Amino acid sequence: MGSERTAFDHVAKRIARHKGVRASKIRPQTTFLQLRLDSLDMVELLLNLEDDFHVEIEMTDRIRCVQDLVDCIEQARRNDDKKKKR
Amino acid sequence: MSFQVIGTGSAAPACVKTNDDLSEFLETSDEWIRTRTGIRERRICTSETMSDLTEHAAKLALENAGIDAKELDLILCTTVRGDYMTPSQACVIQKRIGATCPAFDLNAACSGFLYALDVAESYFFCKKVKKVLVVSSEVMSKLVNWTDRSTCVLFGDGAGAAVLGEGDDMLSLRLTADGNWDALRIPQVNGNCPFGEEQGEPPYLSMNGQDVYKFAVTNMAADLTYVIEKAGLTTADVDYVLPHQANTRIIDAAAHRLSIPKEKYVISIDRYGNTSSASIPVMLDELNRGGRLKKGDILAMSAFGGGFTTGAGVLRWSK
Repeated sequence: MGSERTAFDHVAKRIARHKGVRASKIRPQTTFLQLRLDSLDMVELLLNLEDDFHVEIEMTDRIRCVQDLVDCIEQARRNDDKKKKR
Repeated sequence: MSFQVIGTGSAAPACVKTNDDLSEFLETSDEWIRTRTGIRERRICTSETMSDLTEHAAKLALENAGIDAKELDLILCTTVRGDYMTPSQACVIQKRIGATCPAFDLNAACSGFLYALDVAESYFFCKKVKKVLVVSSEVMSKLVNWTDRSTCVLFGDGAGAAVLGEGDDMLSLRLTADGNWDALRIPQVNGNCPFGEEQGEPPYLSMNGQDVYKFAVTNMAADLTYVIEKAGLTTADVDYVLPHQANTRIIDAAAHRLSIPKEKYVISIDRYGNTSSASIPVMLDELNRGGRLKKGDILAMSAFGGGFTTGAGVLRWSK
């Protein structure tokens, strides 16, 4: 899972599995409102993605669409890499 | 040396309020509540008090155990709020059932029953007791804000009781605490002291659902894994899982992380809502009286609640 596109694919598959929708229907700009993910769905999704990517993801109001979440994951992974290099 | 469960009992108020009943005065619906929590109805104390519920549950447990109240060596009552701040609810129970032993309350919120089993185990280990009554009861309807649809729909009232005797059936227990008063709290009532400088908060439950959900899912799966392993067992050995009944989505999410078939999870939230520390002993009683338990069955219990607290344990059924 080294590229952003791969992270997006993984996140889309997770959402698809959780909501019973097709991953191919999920776009980067698809919002969680459109996907009908409520607050508890989001917590569950984040918990699963934290396990998958071995990062901590903070849920904020800025995370509104799938790409926002992918960006958070990538930022968390970069932060982790920086810590390891020190 | 631990104990064995020799009797169970439970009690619920007569008044049943469905989701439709609540949507008559709250901006909510049966569909919203049921799909997000699994709750269809809950029991609400109208004329009953906690003392009524606990007395009834305790007497049923004593009868099921085949013992008299005077044989008890200790009464433990778990509750976040009894009918009085003092006397303790345990002392009220003692009087009502005609016992003569020491009695005290224990507050570990929804994890109370597991905390009480841990305390009882220590008393048995020290050979200080031969018979212990544990009663867990909550009247949550008096603690929630009935104008807050995000919380009041979740809870209900009830009491569960277990009589413990000498034995070795509590195969493992684990308690944890992680101090947090932001995510879930019920403030105390305030007096009218003229010198007080703090106004105090309204004495109603407030909760950050997302934080509680995250805590619950993470810890329930981890705790169950730990206690099953500590008991020298595997998930395949577990016959029933009795998870605290806060939200079926929490139970589903935790179950997803464990390799125990979903049909082994006992569910009562649909009929009772979240009855806090009473939820596990009520389920235990229903399993017992429903004839679903056989000697040697392995029950894995897990709870989480205000504190934050968690409690988990594996009990072998010998009755």
